[in-house]
Amino acid sequence: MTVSHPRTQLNPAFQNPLRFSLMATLAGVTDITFRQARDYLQTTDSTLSKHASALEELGLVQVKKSFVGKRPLTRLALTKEGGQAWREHLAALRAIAEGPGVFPADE
Amino acid sequence: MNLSPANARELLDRAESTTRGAAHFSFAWLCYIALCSGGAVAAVGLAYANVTGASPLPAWLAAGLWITVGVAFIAGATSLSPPTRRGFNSRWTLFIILWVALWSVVSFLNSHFTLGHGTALAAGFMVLAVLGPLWEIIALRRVAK
Repeated sequence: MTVSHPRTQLNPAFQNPLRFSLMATLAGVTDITFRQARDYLQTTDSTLSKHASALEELGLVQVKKSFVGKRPLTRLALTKEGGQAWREHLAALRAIAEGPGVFPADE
Repeated sequence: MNLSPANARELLDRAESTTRGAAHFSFAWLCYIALCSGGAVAAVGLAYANVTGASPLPAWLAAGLWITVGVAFIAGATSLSPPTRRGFNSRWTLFIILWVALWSVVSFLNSHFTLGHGTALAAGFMVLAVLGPLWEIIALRRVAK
């Protein structure tokens, strides 16, 4: 039986530190406004926008745009697929953190 | 992506602290406490009016005031609240359904109330007022694995 190393289960979409932090943020909230996420992650509008769009294109993050009065309001939330992908990523990290095991596929 | 176990643990710690710190207590629960206060006032006031034969109007007015304040501020409290913990909508909906159920009993059956019924229903509203926010606090402390 071939058992692959857990690193192969890591999602390359979350390799970037900001995307990783954005996913971790969204995993804990119902949704979050763009401004709240920007302030929480201590980043800039353009950087957050770029990475949120990339995750949206992958179907992992939902970007909802609306208006409050005349002011635009953008909210970010995890999609169902995003939640699943994040849980799998964390599971792979946990498997790596547990230490070296025997992975015949690597031999 | 090659990670050592130490790197992986560091990432897991970062993920957990980021997830944990992202959500906060929703101000909407303060409105829920106001709704429950209104329910408790109505339950006891209407029972008292029923037993003594006094006018139920003061009970309706006092309860209505609390409920109006609660309802009036829900939208504002929700929009001004910081991000809420995942699952907030389900928790909120469940507790609103429970409140509506108790309120229906108070509204439609109050002509049969004894003081005991009123007190029991008021206690029910109090339990809801405690359990809703408490569940939210517990959800805030827990981070899904």
